[in-house]
Amino acid sequence: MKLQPLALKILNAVSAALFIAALAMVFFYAPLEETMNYVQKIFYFHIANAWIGMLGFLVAAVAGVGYLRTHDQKWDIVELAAVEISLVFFLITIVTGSIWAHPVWNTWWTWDPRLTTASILEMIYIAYLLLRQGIEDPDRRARFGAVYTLVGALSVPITFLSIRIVSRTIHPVIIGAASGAAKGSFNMTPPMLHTMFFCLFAFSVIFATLLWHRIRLGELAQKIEQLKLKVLQ
Amino acid sequence: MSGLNPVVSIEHMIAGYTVIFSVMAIYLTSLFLRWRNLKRDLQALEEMQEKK
Repeated sequence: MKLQPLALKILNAVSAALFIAALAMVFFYAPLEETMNYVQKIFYFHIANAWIGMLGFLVAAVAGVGYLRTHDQKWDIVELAAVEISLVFFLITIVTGSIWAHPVWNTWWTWDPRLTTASILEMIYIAYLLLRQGIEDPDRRARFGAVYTLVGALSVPITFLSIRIVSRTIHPVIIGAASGAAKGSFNMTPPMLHTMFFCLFAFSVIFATLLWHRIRLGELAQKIEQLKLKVLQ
Repeated sequence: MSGLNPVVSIEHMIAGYTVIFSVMAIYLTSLFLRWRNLKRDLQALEEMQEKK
């Protein structure tokens, strides 16, 4: 396996710079929200993590389609990489959401439609990782993964739309109309909007970088598996 | 909703960002360690193949 390509090295540096810039915008550019003040600053990274989580699950579904069409194991590596990274980002989303909710909603957790669908989404993909491990044949495992991620991706729009469809949710809606029961809504000022969109952009680049690294790891693991079979024969 | 107590608010903000940094650091470390271990495996397998 070759050393990191130059483009990946550049992407590493750009990702690190964007992450620091996003943090700087959150703490030095975005104004303090009047009612929630400091805890509202969690929102920018919470949203960005949620975006990357959902994006990755959709990327995995696209990779699943790629595998079903071509039966090329490379698609399976991409699919696994996207799911693993998204699980990490989505876990951060759930935990930071809970931390934000504690002072704002007076509870760490409530079975609100958004929180429920987000938890189900996370569990669907944890199950994907566990079930994959039980299949030894690489082709069967890849076929299973492709179908699973395709079906699992249905939960992404359900999670996204849950607070827009269900009227009795207390989860705030940032883009679109919030329910009357929503707690913790706030009006976004232009600097807040700039910060939010910058964080979304920064995390998209970070996702691309991590995906590339994780794909390289998957390719190396595959090469080792093939080599093991060769040595054992 | 009346304004939150700034101390409570700042404590939760710190907790939130601690979670974000910690989980990201753990994941990056796991990527690095897995890569290093796979590289070692590859080296060992290549040596075995050469001996064969």
